[in-house]
Amino acid sequence: MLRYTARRLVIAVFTLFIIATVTFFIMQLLPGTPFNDEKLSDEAKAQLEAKYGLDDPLVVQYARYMANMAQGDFGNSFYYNNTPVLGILLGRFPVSAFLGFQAMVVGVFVGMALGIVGALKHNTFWDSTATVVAVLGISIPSFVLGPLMQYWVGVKLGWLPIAFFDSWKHSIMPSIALSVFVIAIIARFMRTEMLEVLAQDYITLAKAKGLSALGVVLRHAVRNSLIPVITVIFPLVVGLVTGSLVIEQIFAIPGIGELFVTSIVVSDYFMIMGTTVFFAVLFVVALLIQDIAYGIIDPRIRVSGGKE
Amino acid sequence: METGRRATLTPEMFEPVGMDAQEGERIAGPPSNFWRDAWRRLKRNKVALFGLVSIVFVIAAAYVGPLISGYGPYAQDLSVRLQGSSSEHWFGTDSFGRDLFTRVWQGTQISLYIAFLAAFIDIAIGIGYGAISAYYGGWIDSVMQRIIEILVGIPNLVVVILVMIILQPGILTITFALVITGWVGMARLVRGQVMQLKEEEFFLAARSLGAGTGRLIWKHLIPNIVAIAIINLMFTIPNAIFFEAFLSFIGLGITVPQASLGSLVSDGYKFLQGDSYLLWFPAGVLCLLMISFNLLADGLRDALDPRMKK
Amino acid sequence: MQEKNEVHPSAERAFRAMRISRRRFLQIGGAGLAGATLLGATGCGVFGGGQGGGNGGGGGGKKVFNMYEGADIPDLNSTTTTDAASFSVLVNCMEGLYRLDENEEPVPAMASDVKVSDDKLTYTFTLRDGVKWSNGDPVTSEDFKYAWTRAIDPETAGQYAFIISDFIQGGPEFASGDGSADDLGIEAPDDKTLKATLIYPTPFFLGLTAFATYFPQQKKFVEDQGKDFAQGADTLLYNGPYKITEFDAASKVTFEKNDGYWDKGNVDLDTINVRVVKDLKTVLNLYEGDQIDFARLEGEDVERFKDSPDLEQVIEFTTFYLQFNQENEVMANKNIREAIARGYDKESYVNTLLAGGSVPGTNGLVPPEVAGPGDQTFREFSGDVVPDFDPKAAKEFYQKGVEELGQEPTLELLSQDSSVAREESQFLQSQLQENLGAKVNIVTKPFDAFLDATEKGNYQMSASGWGADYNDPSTFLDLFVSDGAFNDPAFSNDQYDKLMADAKTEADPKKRMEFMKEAEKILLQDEVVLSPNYHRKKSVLIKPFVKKTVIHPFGAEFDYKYWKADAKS
Repeated sequence: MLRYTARRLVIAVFTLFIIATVTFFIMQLLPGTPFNDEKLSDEAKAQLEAKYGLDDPLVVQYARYMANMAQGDFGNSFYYNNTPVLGILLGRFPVSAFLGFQAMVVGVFVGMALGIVGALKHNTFWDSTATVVAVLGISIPSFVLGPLMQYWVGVKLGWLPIAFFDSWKHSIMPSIALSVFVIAIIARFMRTEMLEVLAQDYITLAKAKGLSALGVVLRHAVRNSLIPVITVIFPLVVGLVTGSLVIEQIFAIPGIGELFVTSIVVSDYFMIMGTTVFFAVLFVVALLIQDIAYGIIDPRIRVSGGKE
Repeated sequence: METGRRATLTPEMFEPVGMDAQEGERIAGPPSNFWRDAWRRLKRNKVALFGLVSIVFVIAAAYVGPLISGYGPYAQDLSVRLQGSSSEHWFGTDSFGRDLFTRVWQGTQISLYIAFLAAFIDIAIGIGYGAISAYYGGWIDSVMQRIIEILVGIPNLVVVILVMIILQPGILTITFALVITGWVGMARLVRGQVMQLKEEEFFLAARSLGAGTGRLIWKHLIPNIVAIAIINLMFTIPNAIFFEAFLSFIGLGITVPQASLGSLVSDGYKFLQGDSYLLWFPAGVLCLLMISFNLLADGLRDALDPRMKK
Repeated sequence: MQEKNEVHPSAERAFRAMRISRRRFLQIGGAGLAGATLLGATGCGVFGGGQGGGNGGGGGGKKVFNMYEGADIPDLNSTTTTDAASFSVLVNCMEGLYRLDENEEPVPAMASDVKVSDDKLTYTFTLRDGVKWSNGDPVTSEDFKYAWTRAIDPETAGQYAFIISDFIQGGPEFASGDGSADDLGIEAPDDKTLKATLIYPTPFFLGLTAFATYFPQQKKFVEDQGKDFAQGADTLLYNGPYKITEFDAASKVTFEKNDGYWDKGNVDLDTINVRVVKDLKTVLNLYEGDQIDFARLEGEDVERFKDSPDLEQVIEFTTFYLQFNQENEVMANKNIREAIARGYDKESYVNTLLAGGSVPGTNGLVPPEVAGPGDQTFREFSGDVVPDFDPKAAKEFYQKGVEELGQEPTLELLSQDSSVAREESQFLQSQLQENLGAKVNIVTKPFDAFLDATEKGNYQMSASGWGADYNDPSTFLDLFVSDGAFNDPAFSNDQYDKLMADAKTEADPKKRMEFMKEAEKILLQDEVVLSPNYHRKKSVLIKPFVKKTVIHPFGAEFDYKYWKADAKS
């Protein structure tokens, strides 16, 4: 287990290294440079570039950038009054994390319920209904659903706050808009998983032993289907954080999805790089947890070296 | 001694069966059966069938619609701007007085084109990569798998957005951005499938019965891979449509005056509180396509490979 | 400043911020991770709800106004900031020597009086008695000298440094790193007197002193705060009509009336809550849900609210125009330019797609309301210099142009990727194809890439825009001198250059205007380097309890000092 974990860890760190590198060089390709200002004279520009080491060879700049990043220094934002990028990211993260977590909890429970119904009533009206609901969840983009909810639930019906993030009530609509996609994924996954488990011999045995239908479902089927479902949750968490790009903007919530969009719009280079690497860290950590969880749950994976 | 126990068996009682090519075929099982089976299973699945029918319908409409509307997709007529549905303009007109019916189907064409193109490139790269990785195994497989693991760790949305900023916006750029991270899933699936097949008993059996490598690939590997490729295709296409719509929505989509479903939705969104039909028509087609592809994909998965999960 | 066509998210302001951001590099001193400020988000937990948030009605007869801002408020340091959102905040909590009144006329503010020398080059300001900072210290002429020097100093300046360094003697040298602060024409002989020496007679200089870059800063406070300066509500000193009680760059600013303000008797609103909302649809939803009292409309929604009593249309000093790259082979042909300038119907564009919310650019480059000689506007003074829409003449010009070129060119229109810009380019494409019989391709780029392309001359014609920095025609016409920094069409004309240079040094206002009138005519009529399409108006909704609003057409938009409202019940 230790060796397996260590190997996943090495891969994770290496992945981050690659991402940071690629991001750095992509930034060099972006149109314009920080000093590409017509109102600066050539001498002033050269002076500035020397001051910030931008006249160094690209390799030197790259090394410096990586060294700083390794120490947690992502550089300073041009846009936000020269504030350190990491500080801004950490300040914005709790908001996104809260939203994502809430959407996840809602999504997992509703999704599981739908999945269970679908599997138990396999190939009936209920199954089709559950499937259609799940498919609708994937099919309706959150950027269509969000504004619709905002308009109907917020403005027309007045049930929930229209936008902002001032209290828990404010978080309900954006959470639901985000969770729809989770519901869909979990429901599908749960359904197939349940169907498979229900076909297993031990279920037949449990039934033969005289366990009630409900008992079979709860004690055996759901529990055994749950494990694989848990493992898909981690990558979904990150999907939520990135998926909130539009939702946060629509609901005027100052989270990191919104920050990423803003930093692109205003070409805040260090912020774009910082956000990209930050997202990557989240993603890689989630995958790492998932891999380790897999390893614990299913020892075979440790041996064969990876999941499929 | 052994002959004593089997004294009743005489060589005359045996006849050579004769291994002609046709018999060999039978052992392998005619490949058409696989597809016929699949089709039979699919036909039973009403929901999936609905998906299939509506996809065919939408594709047909996408190509026929612009022809029968009598309007060009870019023809502006400011005197008839923002008119709702009528017998003249079935879906109404947009803010330039362009016929929305024509533009929606034209946009559907473009969305489908992007989606199919991206999905096929995904599959081509994915199959090649996965098959090579699994076929050679050993250190080649290790290296290729490490590369994939790294790619999986990259948040694709972020990559797609960065690509869209650097390159000139347009259909090919969007396709490229989608493919960059899209093929990884396919490659993993194919590799897994090939690895699994290599260890299947029927594979070993076929081999020991004298099937050559070429035939093994043709009769056993290909149908299995094609099956997962098709299933994956059905999932990739709606994903690509969705992603393209998302990119259009945040302003990184295709260039005007061309339209895709995504850009029509994002333009229509601005009219939500007023002329909302500008949103409903493209959003309706978008959702119908997404739903249909997903339903068909589910059905196909059940039909082609009931054991496959996820 | 260069003007961006409105988009649905953060829009034109973001662009300005971006331009700054390039200069902002200047500030990246050794600010490391230490003391990372969480932009005021600290201590609030996850939810941003403060005392002022949301629908702050009632409140014991207090006059509360709930406002939104379409972009982040990234920088409240008056000497470096450049974006409209921050300007709007600063003009309400700080004040310069003069302040623009409701009619854009500079009126004495921190200064009570000014003496201008006969050569119009020396301004001697006398500070008002009793003006003080929010910490109780008096505002002194030294504070102005300190701030102005900081604004020019390349070590501390922001991108808007030019708005001060271009005018103050010794400014250009110091700003480029050659000169020294000692040679700047800024003197503070005593606490109450500030003497500014200018390079040219600048008739609009008093107006400039109302601009944020000219605001004072107290040296002691700035140095005490160090890196934290202007990062939060407590790390800034206020001398304006309002104080900031809450500030978070990404989500909100809360203003409370400043009791120490010299003219507090004329300040009507008590509290203003400004929330950051970037999506225009959300803004409208919030307005309809009574969460905010102000909303900005775009395109279709303008038409939808045409009859609403809440609708108000506000002038902006902006011009959106087509510019023709003189270094491009096709656009170097004058007949082609003449053809395009006559080949599209601006009025139809403004009346349909902009829903009447703007003024067609049928007169000139300088917007209609920009000041001219005496009481006249520049437009009244200089008349129409733009060729009229004339499809027939356009076609003739075009055919002549094609003959001269020897082959049918493909016209290429560079545009931005915002929704309004996309509409504009599609309209232009359709019009030019129809009226000229030309083939027109559209190339859209994100705003930064767009600026990069126009700056480097990688385009044929582009749909660009420009907004005034001050109330004078030169803010537009200075762009196109041969060595002008923003001379994107690469226009070079000796006569034009001479006229603009003469206008700069001319002390007689009337003669100065004559020079600029002549210059504009060369630009638009003789050489057809650009073709103005429209001057934008902001269409806004304001709740009826607000009785009076003042929204400036350039610089800082929202000046709440002059706003009047009833208390909400």
